Amino acid sequence: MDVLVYPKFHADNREEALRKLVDFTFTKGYVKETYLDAVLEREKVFPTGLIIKGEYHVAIPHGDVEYVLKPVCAVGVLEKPVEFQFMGDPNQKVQVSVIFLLGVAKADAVVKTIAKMVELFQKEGAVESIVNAECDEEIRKIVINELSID
Amino acid sequence: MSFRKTVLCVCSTSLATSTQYLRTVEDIAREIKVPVKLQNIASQTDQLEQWFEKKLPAHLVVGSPFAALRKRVPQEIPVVDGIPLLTGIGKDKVVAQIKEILLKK
Repeated sequence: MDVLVYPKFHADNREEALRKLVDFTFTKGYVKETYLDAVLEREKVFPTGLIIKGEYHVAIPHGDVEYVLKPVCAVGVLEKPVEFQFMGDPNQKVQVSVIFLLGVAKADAVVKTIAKMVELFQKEGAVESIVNAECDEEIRKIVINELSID
Repeated sequence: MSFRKTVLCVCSTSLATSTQYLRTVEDIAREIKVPVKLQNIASQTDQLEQWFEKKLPAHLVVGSPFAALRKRVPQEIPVVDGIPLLTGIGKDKVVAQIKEILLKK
């Protein structure tokens, strides 16, 4: 699964954030044009916001496999947190600072990257270091380092 | 003959978060030496209902979101919230729950 890092960006809301990140993966050939709607619709029914330890929270939006051309994990850091709903309870809100947009194609291809991603969520200070990184290059370094499979 | 415990791992697509639940249960089962049979289930389909309709075995269901899932699983089968396995918050408690359920005779 390829890991892409999107430059730190601003979004007023969840839809805008997802649109920018999905467009990024679309222009790079990872997903079909229809993926955006799939991701937005799914997020409404099966929210992906996650409350993790520490100050900053994450989301792992994704759509169905039929819209994905190549498996991908696109990481986007927001300048200001954007509200998502909590995966564990849709009635609870999460202020998300880092989005891990997943393009899941087949189970086998993605299991290891998802495992690394979950490790990152639970590693003390890891998400914080991504949010507080000085520049996009630093974000990229941290993310690639944490998510790469040895 | 070994008696494998069947564990259903459930998330919406059965491709992303449930694979993580599956991995975790697999590790736990290996650690406590309980043979398990693991099955990914997509909650966005009726796979879950089909499973119970066909009277297939299930000793434990791990998945999310918990509240919606609990309603779809027969009461006698334990359901454990998978989210702590992703976030780390409350993870130890969930791992202990899974161990306890798997170790039951």
